[in-house]
Amino acid sequence: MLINYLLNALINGSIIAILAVGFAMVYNTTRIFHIAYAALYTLSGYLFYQFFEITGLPFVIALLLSVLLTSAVSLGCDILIYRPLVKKNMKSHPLMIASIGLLIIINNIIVLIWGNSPKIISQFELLNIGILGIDSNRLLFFIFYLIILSIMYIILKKSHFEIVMRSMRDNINLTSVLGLNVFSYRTRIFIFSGIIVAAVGSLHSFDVGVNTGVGLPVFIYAFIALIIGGIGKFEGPILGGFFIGFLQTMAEYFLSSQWVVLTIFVVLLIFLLYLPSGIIPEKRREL
Amino acid sequence: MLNYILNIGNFALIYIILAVSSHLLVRVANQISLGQAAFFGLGAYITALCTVVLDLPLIPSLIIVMTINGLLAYLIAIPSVKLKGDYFVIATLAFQFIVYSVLYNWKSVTGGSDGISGITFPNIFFAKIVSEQFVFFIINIILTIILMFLFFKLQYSMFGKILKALQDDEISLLAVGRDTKKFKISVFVISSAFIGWASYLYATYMTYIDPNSFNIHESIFILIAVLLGGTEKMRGAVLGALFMVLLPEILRFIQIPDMIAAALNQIILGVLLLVIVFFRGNRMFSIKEE
Amino acid sequence: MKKILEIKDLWKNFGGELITSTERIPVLMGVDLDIEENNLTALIGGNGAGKTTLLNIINGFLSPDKGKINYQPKEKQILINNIKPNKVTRLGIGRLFQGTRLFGNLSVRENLLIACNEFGIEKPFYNLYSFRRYNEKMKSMNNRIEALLNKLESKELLNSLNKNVKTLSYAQQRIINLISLLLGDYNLVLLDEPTSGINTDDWEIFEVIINEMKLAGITIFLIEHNMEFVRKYVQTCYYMSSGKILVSGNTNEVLNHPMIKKEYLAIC
Repeated sequence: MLINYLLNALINGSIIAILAVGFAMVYNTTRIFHIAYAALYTLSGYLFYQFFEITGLPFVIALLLSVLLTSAVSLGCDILIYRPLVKKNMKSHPLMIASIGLLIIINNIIVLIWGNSPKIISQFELLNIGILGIDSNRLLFFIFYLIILSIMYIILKKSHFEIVMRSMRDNINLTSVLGLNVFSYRTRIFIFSGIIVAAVGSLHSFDVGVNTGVGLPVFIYAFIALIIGGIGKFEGPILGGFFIGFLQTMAEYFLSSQWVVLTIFVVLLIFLLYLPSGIIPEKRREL
Repeated sequence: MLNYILNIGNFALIYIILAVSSHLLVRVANQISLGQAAFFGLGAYITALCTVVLDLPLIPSLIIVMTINGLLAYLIAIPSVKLKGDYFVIATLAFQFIVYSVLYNWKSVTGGSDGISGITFPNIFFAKIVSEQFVFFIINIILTIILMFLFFKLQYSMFGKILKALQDDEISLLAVGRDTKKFKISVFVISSAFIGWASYLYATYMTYIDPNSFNIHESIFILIAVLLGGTEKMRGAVLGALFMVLLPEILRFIQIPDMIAAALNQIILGVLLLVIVFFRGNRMFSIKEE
Repeated sequence: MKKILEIKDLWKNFGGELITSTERIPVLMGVDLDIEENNLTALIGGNGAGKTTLLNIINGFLSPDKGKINYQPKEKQILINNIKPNKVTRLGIGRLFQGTRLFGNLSVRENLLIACNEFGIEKPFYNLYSFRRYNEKMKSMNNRIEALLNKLESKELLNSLNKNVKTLSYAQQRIINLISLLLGDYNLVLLDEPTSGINTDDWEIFEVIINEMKLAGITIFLIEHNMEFVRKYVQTCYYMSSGKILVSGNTNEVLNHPMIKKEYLAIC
């Protein structure tokens, strides 16, 4: 049975890792505490449900549509709300409040459209192999998540995104002076992070269904993964994600599902207080 | 009809206490906290202990609630005030989730999701003459006014001025000999202790509490009440709290169907938050324009 | 004459834990400096020499890697190597930063009230449980402020007491910074380029303030680039370059030193 738990740890870990990277893309560059990200996750789940279950479109089409629309909303958050505020020279507190506002608005539009009750998608086997007590769908998704993770990692590393990211975070004015089109980067960042969150959100919705409360806990885990893993290099959130996945599953195995949340937050507090730069700290010049 | 108004009034006063207590932390000391509901909830469960188990009268209960809330806030604040900006917010978020988790899971003590019922307001003799709800309302008003007076005096004393200076330039404040850490901790402790008054009133009013009233959404609710008021002045928090309590009633009054009223309520709040940030942004937090 | 501050063999490198030792940058290398009581001592030298860093270390914002700082107010002797800045201030050492640093969201009066350093009345709710003493102190602080402003003949400040401090000119803000040092109870004040940005018209009040400080028995240690000012008021000079004290002594001697004339005064 332990193997079962370990596999689950890997699967959950990969989900959180992907989301953590998606969030890190936004947070590391723009310094915006993009809590609305949680609502995008929820939204993608509902969109997939709508297209797949209600409209009856094929799996892949429904997935693509969900991803498309979610990234559009993600980009919308930036273009309509964040960018105008940044132009007005707003700092991190007001931006966080704005993001909370977006979170509330998007979540409640979801309620208005789809109602309050949880939605489940009728399952079917995409492939007929069950391994070690994990159904084949989950396994398939896990492979998909790993593929997404690898692709993202390669793209981010190859495009020297980390360097751009650091320069955008340290000194945004200098970055634009140096000729990097900051706004074009922002567009790509928000679209890409929207794609990521929607891919995971949609698949997860297929896996376990969706309700209005899924976004926030998953977002918080992603953020914790980022803190524990370390801001700066993308290895951080990936490592952090798997760490949380394991922590979650191990807490469930050794204690009981009740105490999972408590364990994770206590670990977070320990990190915040004693190792705030995370497992993979970022090298910064102190002068 | 009268009972309906008294009911709204009681809730309004409780939220005014929550908002005014949090106002000091959020607007004067400029620390965003997403953990206020945790203290709200903690205080409520301690109230249950004081009334149901110990059967104590009003003032000793209030003192106990304040002390325990304050002590816990002190323990949390000591390590947390070292954290910068976003990290402090996350620490308060972590605290919120930990407290909620404990309240929800420690069934033997807190009753878990079943909650605790039978929390009654201590016997006041003239409750026999007038309706109990009216008596409660009067006591509620008295406590609220006392609290507002205390916080008003606090905000406009030298202590309050130091808090304002702290927002602006912590290094200069250190250079004039002030222990900034102590001030940050004090604000957190005072704010959390007085939230206990709201806890007490809420618990004895509802006579039943469960963890769901004290989750992250409640913390966000309290934060919005403080921010909606828009200004650094205490009356902003009062107006914000009133608005938050009255908005659902207004929506009900103009006969928006219950199904969409709740969601619409939230959407209005979200939009108002955006509006406030757009128009008052940095000034909301006294952030220096560079 | 008695020394109020003795700095012995002070070293400071910059470089955090994440940077390897080969990247450590030495900023102060074996600095020896004495400040005599009731004297005006100046630290001069080119930009980047490490002067502000030295002040930051004395104040407690940074700690030295090696060396001692002996502080000797009145009859005591205290080592202030590793003490937090707010504690250093409470021992009687005041600081003026470069540029103006004021509490921009407060009024002139409020800034000066804070400068009075009445720490005791800042406890939460003190104005309620000890209202008599609180009101007395507030009154005496306000009187002290007004008396001082009158003595210094600072009409502009007297008229703007209740205005927000940012509405005042740079020079007036600087003057508020200096006056603040007269209101707290200091033995030694560290000034970082007090006259920078001030033109000669406003010097008069600087002169008055410096005299007031002397009368109050406050020792002044300052960083200055303004040689006219240094020649006029300063008794002892230390010339710092690349983290080392190269020349020190009587102002005239130092400013007439050939090396300094060549390297530094030529630029001034």
